Amino acid sequence: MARTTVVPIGPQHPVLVEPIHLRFEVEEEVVVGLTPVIGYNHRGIEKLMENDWKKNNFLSERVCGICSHQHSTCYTQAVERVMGVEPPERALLIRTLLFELQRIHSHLLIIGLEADAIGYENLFMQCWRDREIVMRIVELISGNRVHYSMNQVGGVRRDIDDAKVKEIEAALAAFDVRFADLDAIMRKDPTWVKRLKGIGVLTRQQAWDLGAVGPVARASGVDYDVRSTRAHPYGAYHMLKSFKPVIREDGDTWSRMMCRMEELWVTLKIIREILSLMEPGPITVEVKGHPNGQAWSRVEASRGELVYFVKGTGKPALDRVKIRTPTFANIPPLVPMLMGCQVADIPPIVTAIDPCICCTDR
Amino acid sequence: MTDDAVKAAIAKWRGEIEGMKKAGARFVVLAAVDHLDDLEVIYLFHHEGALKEVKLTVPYEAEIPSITDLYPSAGFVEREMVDLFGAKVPGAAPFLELTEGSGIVAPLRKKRPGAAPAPAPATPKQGVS
Repeated sequence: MARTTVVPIGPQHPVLVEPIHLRFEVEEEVVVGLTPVIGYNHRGIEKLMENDWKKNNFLSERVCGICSHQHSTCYTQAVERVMGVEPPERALLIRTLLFELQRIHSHLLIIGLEADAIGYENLFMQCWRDREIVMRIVELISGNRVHYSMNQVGGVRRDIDDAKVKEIEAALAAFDVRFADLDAIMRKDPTWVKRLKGIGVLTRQQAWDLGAVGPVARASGVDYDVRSTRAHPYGAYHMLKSFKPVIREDGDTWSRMMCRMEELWVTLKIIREILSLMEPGPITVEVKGHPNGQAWSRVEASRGELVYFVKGTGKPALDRVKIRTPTFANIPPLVPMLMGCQVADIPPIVTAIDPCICCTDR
Repeated sequence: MTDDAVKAAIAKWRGEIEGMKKAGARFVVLAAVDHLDDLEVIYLFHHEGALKEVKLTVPYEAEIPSITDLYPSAGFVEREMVDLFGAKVPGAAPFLELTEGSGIVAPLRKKRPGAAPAPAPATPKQGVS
């Protein structure tokens, strides 16, 4: 009978740079138990947001450096719902444009890190080289690469002129070639396929029961994408015809990465449609008073459904802000994914949920 | 609230949660809201494209039954409510208190147990945005 050994990974570990503790129980080389522990770097941002609701636009971006604009958008629209503010159409388009640009660089980042996790350093470098294109686009639009500071309650803070639209279109053209190359590698390259296919399987039922979100849920066949929820629309998605959620059925690590790859193609279409829809007009509306009431807000961030709850009492300081990040929802599904896997497969399986402990430990 | 009122509130709330499960609703998240002596817990569900809330308000001393038997995905967020608000959820251990007595007790409560009275919140200046 094999002896059970405990293998602790994190909160400080060379292959897992963010502070989460995964306590594995292994027999020989097979994982037979896992206890994830979070909270090592809890920053108390929800408490900090019991503050001036206008400053929170910028604070919400600091929850995460990868999905900063997505946090800011979710917070901003929660406050707009409380205050009954309708941003102008052009502002919604600009918000959604940046939202989808952020999805591109986030997905390229994690595809690169997954390549790195399996020792495919050439592919890692290719992804991060291509990611630089979109980093330059967001810098062109906002003046920043990480925290864009574009949102404000009632609209956005900067407009995009025609010259910038042309520059963005020219930059996007490069992606068609790069994505085609990346897509082919991810579908056919034996190193990539053999290391990822069939490992870390999450069934549809497990994904549903454990509340998986984003590409993790959709790769397991769960049709859940906030962008397609017509009853609870946000941003400019209700204006778009090019959006279609990507659903896959296999639920393994390869499917999760392919789900992201296919979403990149959809995102390119969305961005081009947004640019074609932009008509001259105001980018913000005047907002008076303070939030008095409460509202939920959801967006489909790169890693999955992001949720904000905001409660105000008619004063400048908010009474309560609750943030539910996608990784927070995707950590419990890690347990069935990793049960029965080989120790060597732990890094690619964990990386494939696109874990962001920075978000999780707000 | 009297004990009987708390029991009745919990029984009604539990019935609503079971109704959500039966209807096939997806549990999204819960938000705890501090009302000084009482804790309001708002459970958010997604059902047929719409968001639905189930609310429970009980005194801090009351035990809030876990819903993980119906929704396993609620486990993490229940544990966080124990950490941040000092809520009593049987079976839910805190995350943040790595060793007993080392964590800040209920940091999101406005009136924290065992802590000095919190200073009145400063009125923030109007931010420029």
